[in-house]
Amino acid sequence: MESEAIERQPWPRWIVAVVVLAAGAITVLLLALGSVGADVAQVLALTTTLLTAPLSVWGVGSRLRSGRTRNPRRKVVIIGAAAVCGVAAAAALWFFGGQADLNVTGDTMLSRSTGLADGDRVELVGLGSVHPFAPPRRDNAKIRFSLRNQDRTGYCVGPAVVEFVLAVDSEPPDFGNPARRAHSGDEVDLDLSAATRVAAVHARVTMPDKACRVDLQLDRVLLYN
Amino acid sequence: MSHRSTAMVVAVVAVGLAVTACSTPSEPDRSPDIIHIGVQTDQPGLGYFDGQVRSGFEYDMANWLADKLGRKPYFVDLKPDAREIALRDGGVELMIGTYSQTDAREREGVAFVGPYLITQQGMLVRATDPATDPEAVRSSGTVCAARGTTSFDQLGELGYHPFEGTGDGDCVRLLLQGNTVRAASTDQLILRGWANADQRLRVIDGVFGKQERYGIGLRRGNRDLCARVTAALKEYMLSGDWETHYRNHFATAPGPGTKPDVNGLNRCS
Repeated sequence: MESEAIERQPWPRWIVAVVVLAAGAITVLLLALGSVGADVAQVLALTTTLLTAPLSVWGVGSRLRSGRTRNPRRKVVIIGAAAVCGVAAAAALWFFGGQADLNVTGDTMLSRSTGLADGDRVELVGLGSVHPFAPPRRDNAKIRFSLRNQDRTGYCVGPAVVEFVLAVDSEPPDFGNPARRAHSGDEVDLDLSAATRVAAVHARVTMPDKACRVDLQLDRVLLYN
Repeated sequence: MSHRSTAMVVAVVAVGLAVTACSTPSEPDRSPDIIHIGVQTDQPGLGYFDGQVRSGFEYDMANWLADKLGRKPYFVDLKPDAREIALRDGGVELMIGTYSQTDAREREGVAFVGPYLITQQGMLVRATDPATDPEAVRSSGTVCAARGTTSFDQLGELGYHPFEGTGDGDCVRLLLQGNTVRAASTDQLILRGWANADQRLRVIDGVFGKQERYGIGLRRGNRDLCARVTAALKEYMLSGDWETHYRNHFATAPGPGTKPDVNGLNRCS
């Protein structure tokens, strides 16, 4: 009999262990990747859904055809509990380890961003009540920015330099001693570890052509340890 | 106005009208020993061609650089609005013709070696015009500038009433003809060349707008050529010939800021 043949083949338990371990490892990895992990997770979730949906339909169909309707309840409970434990362990690691990068681009804005002339200064500020630098949620910030000349005339962006100044715990910014100097498209790293209450990040645009006006945009602001 | 000046203006205008017809060689010599350089022909002092002889600072510089590169220059006459097309299509390898480096042109795929000269936009009027500064023209007249130039774009950005000419020579012709335009506008150095050639014209004191940083245009991505031209240009600017050529064509020493810092030339990327 076909059904008896199926009964004689035990479910390979090592597969369950492998699946649980893999799920846990992937979860930990995604969390460790920080904001990038969220993007990867979305892709994996979509792929998994697309793959498992037809497999489930196929599996139900096979059982109906074979007349096998036994509900493997115990196994489902074990697998579910193991998956929950894996996710919980990963989440605990993330919360208490605190090592994941934080993408705070959406929480950061500029005090002024358009029509900047040579010598103009701006400050990176939080959005509403959320301020990623007060207190700094990580020891370092990685900022990628770009400038744009909205006119068709003038060579403004190429020679423009943006100087970043860090003012810690309400100290006034010292533009005579910028922490970093960078061109449009560059990424700068700032050490925020000296700040206990607030790390204020200021930027100043310098351009050789005084008639130039540029827009400054934050492309990515990442906090990391 | 002297007979010589009149003849020069007539010749420049004629060349300006005819330049499109003679601009593209029918069968360009693609020998590796030849370098095709796009130039302009209606800018006395910088790039001028009377049909027989080419003269101007940019021709002298182009010959100097081609010699340093070990290649013979072949000049291709181009209107301003044909420069990007010629670079993109490979009609020319280099563009040396009052070609201002801009962010917009870089975004559109042009790379620049330089700058080799810095100037700013000015205004040319008839000698009888009472205007004393560019502001006086803004609200009371139409200003001609060549199509495809930063000068034309900037007139619009700054609230002037621009009139589109096919080239600088076309704008000067319209200015001399009568009431179509009140002024012609382009870079101050070019305008001084025109005023020197025709006493019926006068350059208004004062410049406006952004810096015009003349660069040698080439198609982006050709890093080898970019590096070799940059090295040659640096050598040219340090040799003393830059100053000699400038004095030969403008009869004066360069003003402050006209010669760029040789250590500040663009990096090839």
